[in-house]
Amino acid sequence: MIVAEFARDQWYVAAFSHEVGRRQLGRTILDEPVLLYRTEDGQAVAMADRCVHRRFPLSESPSHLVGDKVVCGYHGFTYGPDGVCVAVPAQQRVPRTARLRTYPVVEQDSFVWVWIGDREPGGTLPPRAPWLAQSGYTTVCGMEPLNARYGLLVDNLLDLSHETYLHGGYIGTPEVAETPITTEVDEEAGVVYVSRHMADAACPPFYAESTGIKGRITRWQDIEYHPPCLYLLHSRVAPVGSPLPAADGTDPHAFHVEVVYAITPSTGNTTYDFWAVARDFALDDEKVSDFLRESNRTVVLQDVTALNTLEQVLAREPDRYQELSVNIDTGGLAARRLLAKMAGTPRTEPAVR
Amino acid sequence: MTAADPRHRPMAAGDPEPAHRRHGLSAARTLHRVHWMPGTDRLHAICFCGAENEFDDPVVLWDWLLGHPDDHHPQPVPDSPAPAAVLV
Repeated sequence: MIVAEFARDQWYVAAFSHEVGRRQLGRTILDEPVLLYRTEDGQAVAMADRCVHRRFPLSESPSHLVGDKVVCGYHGFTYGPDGVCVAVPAQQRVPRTARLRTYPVVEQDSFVWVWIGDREPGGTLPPRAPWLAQSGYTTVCGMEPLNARYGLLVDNLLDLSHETYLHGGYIGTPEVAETPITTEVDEEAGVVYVSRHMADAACPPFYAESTGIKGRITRWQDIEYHPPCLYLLHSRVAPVGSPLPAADGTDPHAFHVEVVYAITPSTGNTTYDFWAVARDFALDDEKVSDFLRESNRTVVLQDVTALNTLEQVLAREPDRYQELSVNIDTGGLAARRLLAKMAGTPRTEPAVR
Repeated sequence: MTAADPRHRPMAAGDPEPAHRRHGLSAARTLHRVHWMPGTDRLHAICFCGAENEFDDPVVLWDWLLGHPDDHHPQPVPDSPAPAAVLV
């Protein structure tokens, strides 16, 4: 059973920081329409993207910003960044109930995170992806909408065996599917780790072109999934025979790529697929940036195409279709269970397969 | 089979630290580990309580791990604190 319910009372990536500015941006997150914009002093705000009057989207033209206020493009209802309506057309009295729901916002690591839920986040903060906004790394990024339920993307990313087949010629080589994996689940922290270390592998074009490595490589893939939203792939690539990382954690003989995905459910069968690739080499080489941007976007779109097809297939299946799971799914199954627990979905064994 | 068995070496390229330790997170007491045993189709599961078991089906494996302590044979957790004094 692929998790379909949403986990509420969680942080979700609503946008990259660079997407939020002085023009309204509308995103639907967990079925909730969210308006994002930046106040004149640079603060990102998030509030309901529907005017209380006749539900016109405040992110849609001719709605617009005046200073820090947003004016509905239909009848002119005007809201402050705290969601309170400050003006209605043709009357002095503003109805007491004329206010929009606002969402807690944290801007961190180049992402704008919003808290979707009924209770306040309190001291809970989003997980970190520091490489995306850190000196010593250069990052390329993008977002692709997915017409599939978010659980399919979680499944996809927790099992990188599919690289061999779906992404051959980009990031996939035979060794990826052939090398055993180690899976760890930290129940307390709610994190899934999946590691696959290839001692002697072909260098896929994604890494050969960007690093300049000509021969075979040692290739490590260490996944860290923080459900529901953040996925980190620590990728280490080094020519075969290179020294391993030193005891102090330094690793000067290898190339490091931090692949980050934010998996944000939009509706029951659509998802925002935010992706970023940060590297610690060729920092100022625009050609490498362009290559990695285009290559990774191609890889993401290969996943999008496959998962969009899969969603259509699954949508026509009966609810309790029987899946087959094998060893490569160990991490994905763990992720599903954590997500189901977070979403409060009762377990209906043996459906979780 | 014990944890010292060389077949438990989880990865092929050296003996790197697990990801959570290399990236600065501390190992939690509720850490479940699953090693795909090289050269086999078997999965070796280690519960945080120290119980171990082998499986060839990841679904059955997670049922067992998350079913702790059912069917487990817990061993003392090395860093478990001494029992608090009983107040009377």
